[in-house]
Amino acid sequence: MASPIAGNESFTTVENTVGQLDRLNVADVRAFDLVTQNLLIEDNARISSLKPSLEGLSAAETANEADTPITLTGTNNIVLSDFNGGGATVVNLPAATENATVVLLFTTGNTANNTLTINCASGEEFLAGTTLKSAGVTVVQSTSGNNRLVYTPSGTTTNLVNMGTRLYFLCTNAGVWRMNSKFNCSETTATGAFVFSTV
Amino acid sequence: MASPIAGNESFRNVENVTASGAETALDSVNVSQLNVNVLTTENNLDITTTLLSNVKPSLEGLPVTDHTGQVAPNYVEGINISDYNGSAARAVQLPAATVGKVVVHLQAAAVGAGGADLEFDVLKTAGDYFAPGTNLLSLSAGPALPLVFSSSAATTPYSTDLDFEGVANSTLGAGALIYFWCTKQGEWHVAHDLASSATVATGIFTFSSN
Repeated sequence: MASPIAGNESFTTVENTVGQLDRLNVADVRAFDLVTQNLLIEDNARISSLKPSLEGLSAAETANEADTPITLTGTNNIVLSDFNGGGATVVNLPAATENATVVLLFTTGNTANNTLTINCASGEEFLAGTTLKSAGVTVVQSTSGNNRLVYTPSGTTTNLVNMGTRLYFLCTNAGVWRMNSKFNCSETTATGAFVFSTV
Repeated sequence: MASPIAGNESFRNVENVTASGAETALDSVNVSQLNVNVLTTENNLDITTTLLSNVKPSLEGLPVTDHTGQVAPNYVEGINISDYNGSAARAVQLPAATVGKVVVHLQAAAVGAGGADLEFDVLKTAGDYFAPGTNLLSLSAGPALPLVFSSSAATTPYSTDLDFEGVANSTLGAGALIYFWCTKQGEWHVAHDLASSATVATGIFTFSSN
C-alpha cells in the first residue's frame, strides 16, 4: 500500500494526538464526576434550573419597606426584606451578569395587602417559562420579555410569602434572570398572587 | 526528512480522527471548553432544564394541566393541579416513564377529614416502576414515632403504586408538591415538598406492588 501521506509529511499521527489529550481521559468523563466535584473544585456549581446554595453569599444588602424604592447592586447576595404588605415596596434587581445570584429572604409574615414589585434592570428580563406558585393554589409563568414581577398579598396570615420564604434569582445568561422559590407550605398557605408583566 | 511512519502504514492521521470512524464522537465535544464550571453553570450554552437523578427538578418551563374534579386523572408531563381533599379516593395514572420527563402533582387545597386515599400508579403495562430506595417522609399514626420514612422496594418486584392517606392537618397541604421525574427509561424518581408547621400531624405514604 502506498503511503497515504506521500507529499504531505507534516501530518500528526493518532498517537501524537492522543498524547495531547492525556490530560482528559474521555472515557472517564461522566456527569456524576463532573457535577459532584469530588475534592476537585470548591467553587459553587450553579446549575441553571436548580436552586443555588446560600453558601458564600453575602448579606450585605437589605430590601426593607421603609427604603423603597430599593436598587440592588450586589450580584452574590442574600437580601433580607421585612416586606409584609404594610407599604408598597419596589425592588430593582441588579444587572443580570453570568453567575449572579440574589436571594430575597423575607423576615416577617404578610399582614396587609400592599404590593411588592420586583423589576429587572433596563433591557433585561425573566427567562420565559419561569414558574411560581400563586394564589389558589395555581401557578403563574413568565413569557418572553416579562421584566416585572408583582406580588400582592392577601392581607391574611395564609400568604405564600411569609417569614422564611425565599425568592431565588439566578443568572446563567447575561441579561436574563431565572427564578426559583422556597415557600413555607403549611396546611393553608394558599393566598397571595404573583403576576409577571412587561413594562 | 524520512517518513516517520516508514514500516507502519496502518496509521490514522488527525484529519481521519476528527472526521470519520469511531472517533467522530469527538466532534461533539469541544475539548477546549470542557471543564466543570462550563458544564455545571451552562453559561450561554444551554437553557434547557437540567435533570439529575437525585435532585428534585425545577418547575421552570413546565406546562400546566388542571385536573379539578377528576377521580381518575391521567397525569401528563408538567404540573398537574389536583383538588384531592381526602373526601373521595383519587387514582392517578402516571404517563410512561421516558427519559427527561417531569410530572408534578400540585396540591391545590388542604386535605380535610375524609381519609380517602390518593393513589399514584405507574404505567404497569410498560413495566414502569418507582426507583428502588426512594425515601419519602411519612407521618404515621403511632404516637411513639410519628415521623418515619416510607421506602420503595429495593429489589424486584419493584414498587409500582404509591398511596397517600391524609386526614385533616396532613402534610399534603395547599401548595404541596410531589415530583416524579425520569432519568432512566421505565423508572420514576420521586420526591416531595410537603407542608410543615406545628400543626401538621398526619400523612402516610405507602409504596406497594400489585
